[in-house]
Amino acid sequence: MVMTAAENWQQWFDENGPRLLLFARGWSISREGAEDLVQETMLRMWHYQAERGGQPPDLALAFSTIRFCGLNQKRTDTRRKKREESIIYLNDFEDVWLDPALEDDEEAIMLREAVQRLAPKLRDVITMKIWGNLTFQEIATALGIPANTCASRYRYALIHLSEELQTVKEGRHEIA
Amino acid sequence: MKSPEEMEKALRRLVPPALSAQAHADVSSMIASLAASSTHDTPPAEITEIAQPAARRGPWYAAAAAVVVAALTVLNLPQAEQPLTLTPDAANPQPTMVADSKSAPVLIDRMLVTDGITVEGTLAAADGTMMNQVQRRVETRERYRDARKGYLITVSETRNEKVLLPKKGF
Repeated sequence: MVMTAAENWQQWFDENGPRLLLFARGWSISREGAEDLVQETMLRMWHYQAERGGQPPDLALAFSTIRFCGLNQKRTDTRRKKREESIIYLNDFEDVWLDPALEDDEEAIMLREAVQRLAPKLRDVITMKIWGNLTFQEIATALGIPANTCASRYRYALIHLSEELQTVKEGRHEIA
Repeated sequence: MKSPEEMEKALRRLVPPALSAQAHADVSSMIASLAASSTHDTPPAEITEIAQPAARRGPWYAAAAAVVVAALTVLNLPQAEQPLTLTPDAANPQPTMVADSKSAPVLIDRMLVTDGITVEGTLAAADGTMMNQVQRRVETRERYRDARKGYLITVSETRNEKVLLPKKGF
């Protein structure tokens, strides 16, 4: 059965939407902002791909587009923050990056929190590698950095997460 | 402390969150509307020639002729005493509309376009009537249709004429 362009894109979005949202979350101050980024990215990619056959893009291009849109939004947010200094952004404790429903054990919760605290440069590489299943070369293309740098950041992020997890565990045991 | 490989496994067990129902619906709706609009923008794969009945061609020719008449009249207003005229060529009757796609270009119509009328002087005829000697530009315009290639060919021949016309007013 031949799929229409709409069905093709819808299937691609159903499959990759959560990945896009996770990556976009690193570029936005709120979940709603991240969802807006995903929508803007979808729109940009549609027009970009329309001149190249109209097929859905590969995930590396999608991440790259989110990053581009995120940088634009960040500039806008910075300007807005300067204008609205009186507004306090409260933490939304329901707003987690990784779905808590499927992983409820203590280590999973600690790991989620540790990922959220990662430096953006490390988090981007981890997100693209772990949940985007991209190669270092694809990540390098998307971020505009050498593949070796991607690999270094990835290894450093894993070590950093491991150390932090260990520290948190030790701290909890001491309290107990 | 866990090794990098163990950390990788632990991370892969975590699942990215889904978009909210509203955001998902918004994007799905956007995809549908983008697909619909791009379908409308798609040009037809092939332009096929559609033979129209002669009766439907009439208004189109009349409109085109009216535009030509209007344009030429405006251009020649300062020097023209009489308006441009567009008349069927009486000497050569109108050809029958033929839509034979296999033949060579077919003559559709032949028109005489008169413009650039300039009064050069007044003359008195032998019977006492006053005549204007006018110079006018007459264009014979023939249109052919190449049904096979879809071309509309216009052949025009322009000539200057000097004629005497009865003087109607002073």
